[in-house]
Amino acid sequence: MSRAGDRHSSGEPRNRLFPVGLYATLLVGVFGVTFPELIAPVESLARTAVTLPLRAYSILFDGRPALAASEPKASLQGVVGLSQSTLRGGSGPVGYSPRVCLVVDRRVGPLGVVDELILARSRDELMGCAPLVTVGHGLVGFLDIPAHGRPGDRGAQFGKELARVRLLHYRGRRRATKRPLRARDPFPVARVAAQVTCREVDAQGVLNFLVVPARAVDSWPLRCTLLDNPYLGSRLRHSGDMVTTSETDDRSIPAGLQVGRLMIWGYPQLNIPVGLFVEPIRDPRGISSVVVWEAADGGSVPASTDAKERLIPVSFSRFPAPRPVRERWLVTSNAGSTLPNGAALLDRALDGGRLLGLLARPWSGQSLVTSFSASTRIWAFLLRSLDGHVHELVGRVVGHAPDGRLRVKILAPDNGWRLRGELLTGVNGPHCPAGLAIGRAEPGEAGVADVTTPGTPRVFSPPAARGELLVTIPDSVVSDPRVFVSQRVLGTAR
Amino acid sequence: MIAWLLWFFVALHLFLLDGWFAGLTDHVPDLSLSIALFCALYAKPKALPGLLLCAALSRSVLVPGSVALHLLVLGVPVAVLLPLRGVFSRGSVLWPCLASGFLAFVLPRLSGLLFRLTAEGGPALPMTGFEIFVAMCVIPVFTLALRSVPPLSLFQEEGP
Repeated sequence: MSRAGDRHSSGEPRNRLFPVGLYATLLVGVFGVTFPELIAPVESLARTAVTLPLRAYSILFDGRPALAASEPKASLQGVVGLSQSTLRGGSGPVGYSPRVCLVVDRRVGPLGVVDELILARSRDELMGCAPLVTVGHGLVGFLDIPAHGRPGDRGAQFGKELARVRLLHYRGRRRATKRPLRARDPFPVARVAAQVTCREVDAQGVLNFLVVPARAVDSWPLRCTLLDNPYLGSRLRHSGDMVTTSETDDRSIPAGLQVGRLMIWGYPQLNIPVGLFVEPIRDPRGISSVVVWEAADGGSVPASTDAKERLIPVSFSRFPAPRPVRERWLVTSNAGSTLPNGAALLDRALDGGRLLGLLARPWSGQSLVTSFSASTRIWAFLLRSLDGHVHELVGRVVGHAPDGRLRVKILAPDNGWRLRGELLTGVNGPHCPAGLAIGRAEPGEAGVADVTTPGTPRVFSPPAARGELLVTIPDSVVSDPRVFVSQRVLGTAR
Repeated sequence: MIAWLLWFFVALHLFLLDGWFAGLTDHVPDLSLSIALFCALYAKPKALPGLLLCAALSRSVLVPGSVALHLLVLGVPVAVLLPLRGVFSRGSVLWPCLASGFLAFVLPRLSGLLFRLTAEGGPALPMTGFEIFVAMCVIPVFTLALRSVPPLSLFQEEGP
């Protein structure tokens, strides 16, 4: 079987078995995976060339426009329901009134988890608001604007940028930590005075402590420190009790706001708890709107303006793709305009605006789309239950049930899969707004929701292979950061 | 040059064909395995970077993930198998079958590993034992067909 000896004895170059070119190519691959933005221009150019046959096929198989445009009503209803759910049961500092603000994007921190939310409002608009940000009964974080500041305090550029919410487990970025702190800057790391009621047989009472961001090695994002009664803490055995903010001299954070659930790490059954942690009650990947607290007298947040959405008409062609995707769509802008990365592809003929998928890395007016049913990403969802309440969920499509319904694994909250109602998108990036219809969800197997979606035509069926679709983009992203979809929720919008 | 142009456009059609097969039946193995097997066992070493780049580019059009990610998914198993050309005879019947089994086992897992590291592409869908067995039987035949016709026949290493 072996001929290695023969080959080497005949002076065969070693490059045949260990080709330098191949290893150099793999190094380029590693570089491309590590710094994708650096090779993106070359990749776009190459994709333009390689997809030329697909463009030709999409022209050849040109069919009638299958879908027509209509108003996206589902979006508005879902977002209004979301704002009501976000406000429900909330409490804030005295002298401030609540105002719902939509999230438009999320930022992943150095520990690989979402720890910053970007709001649909500029910093100048929220200047003068209380620093805390809540969702329902829960405290989720703090605004990144100076306390008691006024518009223009920190320069025009700073004020025009969209405001951010630093979640309780926010970790400072390397770039930010190099700048010295200025007077009235927000705290780089949040510290919240909190308490938990101990209900053990041999340990009863209230344990006070500070909640701070946990370290990279910790299992939960928040850590308890500076316990006022370590002896009481050492006798805790059961996780799950609710941690709430405690009464302090700082009037800007009211007592009783939920911070999360107490988690005990160590050997609690042997009476040896090693560390106390807090698991936030809401998964930050699913938060689509928050409540900011504006001064009741100042009216610091300007009146809402009408919402704008830029809808770009596009054509799409379906092509068969290897497993597990099975189908991939080539989307082309009809007007030749640039398509934004991550924009939602809508079918406006059904339900007034149903999500079909997200555009991925568009190039020269084209993009490839994986349908929602074949997507592998983690989605933020809204579920409007039969009683009208809107719940924020996080989940991932995991396949199809035998009856053809989509199976969506609900990652958070734990009992989210039990809900029944209309499934909508949450905020999934700046170009995929909350409230786009997906389908009807029902409880499936444990942890999984079964979702019924309107069917789509099979691949390579020319009459239905091309349709008029629309890409939705909140106009504010393109032109004015102060005008966003969220403002439809707040009153004066259409 | 003509061979390269042909490969640049034909590679995409191989993946389209793969998708079409996947729509018909679940039992046909991934055609990416055939391309990887050809590169590992039969391709001219100097042509490997170009072959893999074109294949990765075409695969990235139809399967989620960047070109760089698909380059690693296809290229790393090829780099592992390539030195074994010095050990096994190309005329052997058993060796392509074993190499196909290896590729069928490794490719989905590598894809899943890169998905976990980079959040690109898709999660791992490892093949079952039966699917790996089918790949061991079918992929060498697909590869034989591929290397019998241009453009891949033009990139084949000389020799028995």
